[in-house]
Formats: sequence, structure tokens, C-alpha cells
Amino acid sequence: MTAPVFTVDQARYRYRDRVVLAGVSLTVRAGECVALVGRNGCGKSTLLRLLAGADRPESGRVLLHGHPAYAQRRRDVARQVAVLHQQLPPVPGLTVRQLVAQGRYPHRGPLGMLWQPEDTEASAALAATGVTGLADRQVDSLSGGERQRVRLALALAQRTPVLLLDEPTTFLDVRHQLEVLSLVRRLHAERGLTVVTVLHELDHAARFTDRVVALAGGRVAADGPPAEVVTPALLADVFGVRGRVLADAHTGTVRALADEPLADL
Amino acid sequence: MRWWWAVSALVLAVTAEIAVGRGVDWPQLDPLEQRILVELRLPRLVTALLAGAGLGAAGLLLQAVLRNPLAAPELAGVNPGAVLGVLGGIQLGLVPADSAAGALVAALLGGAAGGSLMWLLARDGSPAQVAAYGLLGSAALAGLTTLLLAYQPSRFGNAMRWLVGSVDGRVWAHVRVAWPWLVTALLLAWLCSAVLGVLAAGDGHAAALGLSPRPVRALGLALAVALAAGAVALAGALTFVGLVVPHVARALCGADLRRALPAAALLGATAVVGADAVAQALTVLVQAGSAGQRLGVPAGAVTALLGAVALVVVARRSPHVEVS
Amino acid sequence: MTAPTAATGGTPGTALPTSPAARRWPAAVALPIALAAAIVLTLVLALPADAEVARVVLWELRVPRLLLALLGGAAVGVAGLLMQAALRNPLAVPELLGVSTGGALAAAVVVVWALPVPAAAQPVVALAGALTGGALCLAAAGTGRGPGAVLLIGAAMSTALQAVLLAVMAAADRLQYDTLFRYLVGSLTGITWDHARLTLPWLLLCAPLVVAVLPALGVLRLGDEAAAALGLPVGRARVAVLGLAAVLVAVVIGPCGPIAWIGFVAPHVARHVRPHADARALLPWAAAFGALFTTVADLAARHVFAPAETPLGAWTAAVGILSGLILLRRRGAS
Repeated sequence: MTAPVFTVDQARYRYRDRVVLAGVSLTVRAGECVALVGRNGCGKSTLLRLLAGADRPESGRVLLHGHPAYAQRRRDVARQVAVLHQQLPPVPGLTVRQLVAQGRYPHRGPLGMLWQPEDTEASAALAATGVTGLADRQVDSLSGGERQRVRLALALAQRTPVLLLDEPTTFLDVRHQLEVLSLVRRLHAERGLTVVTVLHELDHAARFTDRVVALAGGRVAADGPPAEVVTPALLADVFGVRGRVLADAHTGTVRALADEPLADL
Repeated sequence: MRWWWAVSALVLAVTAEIAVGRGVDWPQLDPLEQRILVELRLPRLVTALLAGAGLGAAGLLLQAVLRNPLAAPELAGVNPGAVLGVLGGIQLGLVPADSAAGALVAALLGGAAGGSLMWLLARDGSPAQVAAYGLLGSAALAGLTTLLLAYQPSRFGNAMRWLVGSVDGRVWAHVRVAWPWLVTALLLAWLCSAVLGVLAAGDGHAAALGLSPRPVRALGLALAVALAAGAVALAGALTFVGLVVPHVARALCGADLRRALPAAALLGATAVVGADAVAQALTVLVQAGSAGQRLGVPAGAVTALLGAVALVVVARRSPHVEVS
Repeated sequence: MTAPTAATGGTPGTALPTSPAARRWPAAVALPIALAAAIVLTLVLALPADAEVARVVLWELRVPRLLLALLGGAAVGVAGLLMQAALRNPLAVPELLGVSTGGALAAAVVVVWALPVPAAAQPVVALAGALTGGALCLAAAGTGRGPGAVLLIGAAMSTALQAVLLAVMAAADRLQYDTLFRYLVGSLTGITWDHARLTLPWLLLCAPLVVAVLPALGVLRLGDEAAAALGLPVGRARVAVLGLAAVLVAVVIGPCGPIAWIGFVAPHVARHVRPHADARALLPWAAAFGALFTTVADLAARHVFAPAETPLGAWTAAVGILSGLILLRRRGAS
């Protein structure tokens, strides 16, 4: 077994009066590819923020390499962990190349960024995500799918061993969804990246990750390989739908079919 | 290539400014004309350069840090606060009327206070809301300024220098106080431009790259206040330079702050020098038919007119501007 | 379900303390009292001891001045309400119509270039200038644009006019500044029946027009698209309402100069008293608050720094706008 990258121990988090996380415990080891699933507002994104050290748990511990993630220097964390958030605000006039080059900030520092010759890491990130052709377009002029790939390039330019993704397939059509997830999977395999990603689609989780963690009521409801976790019971308990889970011989994974919502509990 | 455009525009503006200056008949200069040139025309030119560079750079910093294309020192409360600081200081006798250093300190204090007030009022709003608040807040501060002046309406003429912005009558004594401040602030701003550029793409983005948004934003705002207040202390609140120039700079050189910042400074300087050249030419026209000969046409009136026209053209082209 | 019904029913006894009705009834009582007090104070404060002199001061100076403060303030308050409703923007103020700057510019041109215009005709010149300024702004905005663009164009046009004004003012000497000060800041000093006779017919003419545009404003409240779907020619209706607001402000500017920010504060206070009400319900409140604020500000202008008289416009600008911002901020927070 490899060393743990993230250790979450009884983490609790509250937003105003609402308990978002009510004691989550979780260990993510180096080289794992983990999906976080659950209903809207179940705390998936919050857990991701805690892992990235962007926020502090109310109680409990969230450790990155054995030290509290929140207490570490921001740049040290950013050299370890790259985060892809749900959205990017409008950035008028900024080109793709300029935006992706900012991913080098954690390594270069504030003054190092002033003089910026052609950066091979940034170019490599553009190439890896297939957006080299867009490099001189303005970010604001891109379509949703292009934007998403550019943001992935930005995260890759950080050249971190850990990648956190918050719903990387939002705004994407089916083709781009598959493209982005395949790319993440390939990077995971080629570079041995540790990946933790929030996913909406159970099918995607089952197909592109090795481990599914389901959150419900601010706690971990299920945790394990997709074939074990994705069951009709999970659909009922976590997502509140009656459904079936079928084996897909073509992909060799399971597929979840939601049939109807269960009556409110 | 584009830099050449900017530089030639600046050279053109400087030439025009020197050429229209009164009391100097080129090319043969007698000793008196030489003194006028060195002691009046040149400091006036340098004042316009410094003030324009400061306002242009301050506007760009504000637009980047607040992520608001309508941010500008005059809308963020900085310029009105600085004007109120200077005029209040003079009116209340705290600042000698012609002390450049006193004006600088008063403008800085007032600009920081005005900027903080607007920030507290409007920080949660959408970009257009922030701008609208800024419009109102600026008018409120202008109202307070008017109240200060109401006691002695005859001081209005002198106060107009600060309210509108003018480089008339600035001499080396003023420039000597202002230039170290403005040049240092410009250099610091350029050194910080890469970091501020990261912040311009969003707080979450900056935090994910290991940059704490709050202190960096505070730094950017402080630099913007230092630049704008320094410019106001020198030449008054020249309207629209800080709003329009950054847009032109970005259109020419892209949004990357490392290049846009020097471009905004350069274009701001060009704009104010050019505006003052036009203002001097207009002064001759306006005063031809009038009885009084008190003040020249302020450069601020020209920047306001040109900026307003630019704004009308832009707004007429984009019918769906949302200001709510 | 019972509590909201009781509150909207408007019976003061059953209303919850936070309900709109609870705010409306005290205001309905307090407003006339405050208005009456302001009127009485304006008339009697610091009257000369001599009865004959007092009578002349009262009838020849104070009554016309009071009349203009009341009606002018009401007109500006209503103009602000019309603008905010037509542009669906709480920050739309009559100052952004180019009216006040236009008035000042016309006056400045006459004074600075010493054009042969008798002093008595100055209010007429200012009125014409104000109307021209408003017409210029509305022409620049045109009928085919959304409220945001109209507001922005208005702001830019008034700034441009301001710039021209300042360029003209640059040639003024000290004496001319003092003459022009009224048109820069606004004041009721020296108002006589002549001034009142200039303004009042216009206001009487505008009153039925204001009532006539109220239904259109109610439809505009739904948004441009919905209003167009209901058959309202949105662009033309908006320009018509803004034009009416410009006339209301211009006729006050003629004799008094710009009474700043009453047009912003009065509708907001009205909306504070009657939240969620439409323009029709807000109209009397905006008019009454405009009249009250102007009268009180004029009292302050006359008596706070007595014997010196401060310009009314400075008071309304400084005090009015700060309270307006606080109001707005509180509305945003809740």
C-alpha cells in the first residue's frame, strides 16, 4: 500500500446554521482515482475544498501528507495539489496561453512570473488537453467544452502529483464529457496522478474511477470499488430513486438506471 | 508594432503641448522665452505626464483587482475622496494652499478614506452595481465638497483645479514632491503585476494557485489609491482617464497586466498631455469673446468631454448594457 | 396563512411589527405633521418685528419661496420616481438626464460672454437650457435601447455637458462665479412671485400627464419583453416618461438651480414606507417626501449658518445622498 495523501478524520463543517459535513472519515492514497458522489448539497464540493486546504473543518482533521491542509503555506499546497473548480469568472481580454501560464505561479513565485520565456510545462499542458490550437484565442470567447479543457490545462500546468476536480463534466456535451474523463484517466495511468473528482453521473464514476465514495447526510454512506458500491440500495439510500444496476459487457463496468423517484422520506 | 503607435502618439502629444504653450515663439527664443519654457512649460508637461500615467495605471489596477470593467478611480471613491481631502484641508486651514507635500498627504488620506467607504458600501454588488454606487458616492462627496465651498463661493475658481483637474500653473516645486512618489508606485505596481494578474482571473483561481486573495487584493487597491491620489494631489481629478485609458491599453496590448500596465501608464500620459494641448488651444478661443481672464480651460474638461463621447459611442453600440 | 392576510389588510391593530402596514400608518400620520411644521417654521421663523415689514416679507418673499420649495420639491421627487420606474433602476436619478447641467450651461454662456439678456429673463434662459440638455440626452439615447444603455448614455452625456460648462466657466471672473453659483448648486434665495409665475403653470400642465403615464409604468415594471408582449411600444414609452421627468426638473431649475438628489432620496423613502408598491401607489408619497425634504433643507439653508445663507442644493446633496445610500444599503442587506 502506498502512503496516504489525504487523511480525513471525523471532519465536521457547518455553513451558517446548516451542517454540511457531520463527521467524514476518509483516506486517499497516492495513485488512487476516487469519485465523490451524492445528491446536490450533500457536501461533495465542501469536502473537496477541505482537501485543497481552501477551508478549515469546524472539528476533526484534514491532513495533506500528514499535516493539516489548511495550515500549510498556500504555495506549498499549490505545488502538491491542483484544483479544477466548477467555474471561472469572466476574464476579459486574457488569452488561453496567458491563463494557462498562470498555472506556473506556485513554482515561479511573484517575481519569477514577471519574466516569462516560453514555458515548456505550460505548452505541454496545452498539448495534453488538445487546446494548443486555441492558445491565442481569448478565454471569454470559448465554448463551454473548450473552456473546460482550458481549465484542465491550467490545472495540469501546475504539474502537481494530485488533481482535485469539481464536476469536470458540467456544461459539456456527451462527447466532451467522455473526452475530458478519458484524458483524466489517461493522465492518472501515465503519470501516476492521484485524482479525487466530484461526479454527477454514477456511470462516469463507475467507468472512469477505481473507487467510489458516496456522501449522504454529511457522512460517508458507502466507499469501495464501483462494482460493490453502485447498487440499487445505494440508488435508494443516497439518491432517493428506485433503480436498477446492470452489468455492461462492452465497457466491463456497471451501469445505473434510475427509474422513478422514491416518495419523500 | 503596437508599442510604436503608443510611443508616436505620446511624441505627437508632447510636441503639440510644447508648440501651443503661450509666451514662447519658436524657433528663436530670447532669454525670457527660455525661462518661460524651462520654468513653466516643462513642469506643466511633466505634471501632465505623471498625472496621466498615475491615473491610467490606477484605473487598470482597479479594473483588474475588482474584476470590474467599469471600475475607475473616479467611480471607486478614490478621486472624490482625494479632492475632498485636499479642499477640506485647505479650507479648514490644515494644509497651506500651495504646499505640494501637504496636498499629497491630504489626497492620500482622503483617497484612502473615500475608497474604503465605497468598498464597504458596494463590495458585494455586481460590477455595474459597484459602478452605480460609485457614481452616487462620487456625487455625494462632490456635494460635501460643494458644502465646504458654499461659505466662500469666490473660492470656487481655485477649487475648480481640484474638482475638474488642471495642470495649469504647476511648477517644478510641485513636480519635485510628486515624481518620486508616483514613479515608485508605478515601479511597485509593475513588480506586483504578475501576482495581480493571477488575482484578476478570480479568487478561487488565485487560491488554487497558492495565492491568498485578500492580502493581494489589499495590495492592489493600496497601489491604485497611491497612484490615483498622487495624481490628484498634482493635477486634480481628471475625469475619465482612469476609466477609458485601461480599456484602450488592453485592446492594444492584451489583458496580461505585465504589458498592459506600462501601456496604460503610457497612454494615460499621452491622453492628459494631449488633452492639455487641446485645452490650451481652447483657452485662446474661449477667452477671445469674454471679459474675464482668470483661468485657462482646464485639461480635465477636455478629458471629460472626450471620455464621455467615447462612452456614449460604446454604449450606443452595445444596446444591452445591464446596469441594475 | 392568517398572519400575512391580516398584515396586508392594513388594520394597524393586527399588523405585525415588521409588516409594510406597520411602517405605513405612522408615516401617514407623521408626514403631514412634519410638513405642516416645516411650513409654519418657514413662514414665521425670524420674522422682522415691525408688523408692516413682516407682512411684506411674508407675502412677497416667504410665501412664493415656500410655494416653490413645496411644489418644486414635489416635482423633483415625482421626476425621480418616474425615472426609476421607467428605467427599472433604483439608482436612476434626474441628475443623469443632463437637465441641471444644461440649465447651468445656458446661464453660464449668457453671463460669461455678457450676452444682452436682461437679468429678469435669466430663469427663462436657464429653463430653455435645461430642456435642451434633457432633449440632447434623450436624443443620444434614442428609443431602441435597454434601460442600462439609456442610463449609461445619460450619465455620459451629462458629464460631457458638464465638461463644456467647465470650459465656459474657465473664462468667468470672480463676480460672474458668484452670479452663476445658483445654477451650479441650487438655491431658493431671492425667489419672488415672478419666479413662481414662471414655474407653476408648467407644473399644472405636467400633473395630468404624470397621471396619464402611470398605467404604462405599471406595465413597464414587468420588464421590457413582457411589456412589449402586452402591446406597449417600450422604447417610445420610456423616452416619453423620461421626457416628462426632464420637464418637471427643468421648470424647477429655471428659477432655483439644481435641487440635487431630492429626486433620488424621495422615491427611496417612499419605497421604504410602501415596499413592493407600484408607481401609482408611490406617487403621492414621493411627491410629499420631496416637498418635505426641500422645505426642511431650505430651513437649514437659511438658519443653520445664519445670518449667512448656505445654498439649498449643497444641503440636499450632502445630507440627502448619504441618507439615500444608507437606505439603499439597508434594502440590499435585507
